[in-house]
Amino acid sequence: MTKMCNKTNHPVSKPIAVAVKEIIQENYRTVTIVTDVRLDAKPGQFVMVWHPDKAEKPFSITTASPFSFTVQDVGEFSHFLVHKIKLGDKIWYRGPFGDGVYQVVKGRKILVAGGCGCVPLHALAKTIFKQEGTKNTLIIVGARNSKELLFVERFRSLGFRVEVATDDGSMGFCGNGVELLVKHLSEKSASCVYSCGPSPMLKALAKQCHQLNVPIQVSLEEIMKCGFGVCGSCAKQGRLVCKDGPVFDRWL
Amino acid sequence: MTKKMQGKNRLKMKFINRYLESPLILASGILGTEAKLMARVAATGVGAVTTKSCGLEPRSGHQNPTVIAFEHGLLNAVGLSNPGVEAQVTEIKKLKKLLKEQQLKTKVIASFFGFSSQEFIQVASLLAKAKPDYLEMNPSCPNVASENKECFSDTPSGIYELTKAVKKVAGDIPLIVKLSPNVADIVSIAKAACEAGADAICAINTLLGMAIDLESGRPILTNKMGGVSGPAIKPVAVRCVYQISQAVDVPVIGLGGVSNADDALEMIYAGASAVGVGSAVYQNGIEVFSNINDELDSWLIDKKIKSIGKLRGKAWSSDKNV
Repeated sequence: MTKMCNKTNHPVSKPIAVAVKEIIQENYRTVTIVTDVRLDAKPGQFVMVWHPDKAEKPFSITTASPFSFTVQDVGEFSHFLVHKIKLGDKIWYRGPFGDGVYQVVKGRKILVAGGCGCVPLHALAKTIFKQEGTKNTLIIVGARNSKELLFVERFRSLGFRVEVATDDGSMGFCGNGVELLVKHLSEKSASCVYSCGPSPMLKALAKQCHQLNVPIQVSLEEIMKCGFGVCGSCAKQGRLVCKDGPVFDRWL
Repeated sequence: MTKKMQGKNRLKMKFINRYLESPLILASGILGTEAKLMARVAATGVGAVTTKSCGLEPRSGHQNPTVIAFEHGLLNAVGLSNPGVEAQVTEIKKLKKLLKEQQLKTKVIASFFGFSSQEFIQVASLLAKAKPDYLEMNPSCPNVASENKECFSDTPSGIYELTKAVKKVAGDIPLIVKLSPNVADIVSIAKAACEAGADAICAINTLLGMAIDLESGRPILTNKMGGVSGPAIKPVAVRCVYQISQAVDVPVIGLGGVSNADDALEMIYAGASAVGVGSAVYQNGIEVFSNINDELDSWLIDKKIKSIGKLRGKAWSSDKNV
């Protein structure tokens, strides 16, 4: 019998060890771990970071070249990464993963980051910067208070206009990022709102943008196991957050 | 069925008490977590979808890393994460409703496990209330060996007692028994399951394996060992299906490393009445099912074969004395 189909080769997804070249303190409980490899990654893609002493969890990619990722001390694994990883140590990753990535559209863009949501939006901002510069884009960075803010200087140093929103008013607009977004949209609409942040924030953002008829691209978070679309752990409304996402054009 | 699939009668395959629209089945443990996701798989034209194995209580499974891809397949120790039987019944009902709304004839196979025979019986009787088309008993997950209170799948007597007990509570829902290849003689175990009333055999579950990271010198999986699936295990699966299908009178689901139409035909030639596809979703995405269906159908037209069922056991004639 003749072969009906050519077998594709089986892509390997085993953890790869890389050396830590730099550790950047982003705020009092957040660091960016910079490695010595380059990734071929699109904005919004993520990696599974593993340390044999601890665990394996998904992390957004802060920069692809060199590959860096940002960790906030919120749980056992992130505490370990923030406090125990030193220069020269090894860290393991699988990926990058995710077919659903941020797509740069023409026209006015507003990026809304909540907490650690700055991370994939940073990768997007770099892409926008390279493709068309900074003039069509406004970045809103939200946090509970000024101590929790992230990446404001990173965005500003690229030349973007950045507005800050803090829940307690300790810096910038007093209120959350979605409220500040609505204020801006009421003055002038946008061709797309890009966001990443805590689920309640994204849900509220999606609702507001839907009412105002503004397209969105939001990066979602779910518990993941394989990262490459087989185990179904991250299934949401028939979509796989790891494979179909993590960026979607609506709240799922 | 997708519009494209309608009228592909050549792919219809008799399985136990009814016909599957295609011999392809979504294997247990792959994408079977959510009703909407399974409905999406159903829309690709599979004959049946298998829900991820569920137990009595909710379970988060093992810690990551739980799934990796090596050069020739996948290695996993997800560890039977599931929402528990109560939530699963709701999910299956939701799935059946979605299939009906979308006018899909896809059958639903409800997979389940237990850590004791009492648990198997309890879960089966509760799952039966969701009225799946088939029940699939999974006493053969290699990743929870330390938690099992009894050995079910490695002896004919163990599988006989368990199958007999579960069959009593399954009512008129046909019972499929999924077997482990990690045994000396899978045929004697398959025979024992059938003597106890199994309506079909599913062969094979994953092979017990391991991968070690050279940089750290540690096993990659947190559970250290895991189940091997994908292209690497296909010859083992084909051999098991070939042996079992000639030794028993019930249909066999051939499962292990099928990723294209050639592989599916190989299983059917070996004696399979239906063909499970799982790990191939990794390489080829959810479209793998419609791709295989299309390839099979074109091939049957080309060969002027009216029904794929005619090809079942074509390889048997080479050896009548297995």
